Amino acid sequence: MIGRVGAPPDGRTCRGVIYRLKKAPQSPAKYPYLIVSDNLGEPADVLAIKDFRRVNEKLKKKVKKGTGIEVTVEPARKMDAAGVGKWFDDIINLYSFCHSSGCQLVLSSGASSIHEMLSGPCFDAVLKNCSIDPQRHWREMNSWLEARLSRRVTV
Amino acid sequence: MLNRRPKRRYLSVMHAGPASDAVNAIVKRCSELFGSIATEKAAIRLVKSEGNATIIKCRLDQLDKVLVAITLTDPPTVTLDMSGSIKRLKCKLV
Repeated sequence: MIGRVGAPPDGRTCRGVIYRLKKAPQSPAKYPYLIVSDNLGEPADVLAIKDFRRVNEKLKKKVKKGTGIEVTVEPARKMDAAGVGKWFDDIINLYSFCHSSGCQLVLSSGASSIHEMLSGPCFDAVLKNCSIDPQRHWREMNSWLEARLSRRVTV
Repeated sequence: MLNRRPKRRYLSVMHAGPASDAVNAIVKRCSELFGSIATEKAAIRLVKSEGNATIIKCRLDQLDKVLVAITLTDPPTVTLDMSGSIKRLKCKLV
């Protein structure tokens, strides 16, 4: 069961929701948040990667230890079978890269509506298809998330 | 030797549009990604449809492949729940 979700800020604070921000707030926040960026040069908690093959070399040089590297499922829906095959291969490579560089793979639905959301078993099936043990992945993900959020100054 | 019936899983999925289109899209995607043989083995069938929620069934040994196909289907389909029997699945959904 998914106990926590990441969502863009909407002015309200809900339990179990971690807000995805582009920049750190000016004053201490009342809610848990993560800074998400798709720019490799920017300091962020989570780097959203669209094409791993293209940024592979840059990523090796620029990424800091402990950064989350996010891959979204949403673009894979539009891909043909060959594209999906490459997408799975990229996740396998990214997972081994994350292990060697001390980063955390963040598999996300990339949903913008309720119809695009993914259930826990679906995430597990995608991970198993990439030869990743889901239980181990979620345990590591939980520890990473707790460590990241504990560094935040909240009111 | 006993000829046991293969185990099945019943999945409740939420989708937009007609149920038959959603199931056909899942079967097509499964075939594209894992091939015709795996798709036939999975035996994905429409069981019941109510509004935009549909119950489908598949073989347990091919469940992960079916879940991956559901995940990567366009238009998107959401897996709500799954169970070994329709009765228990309905209880969970209510």
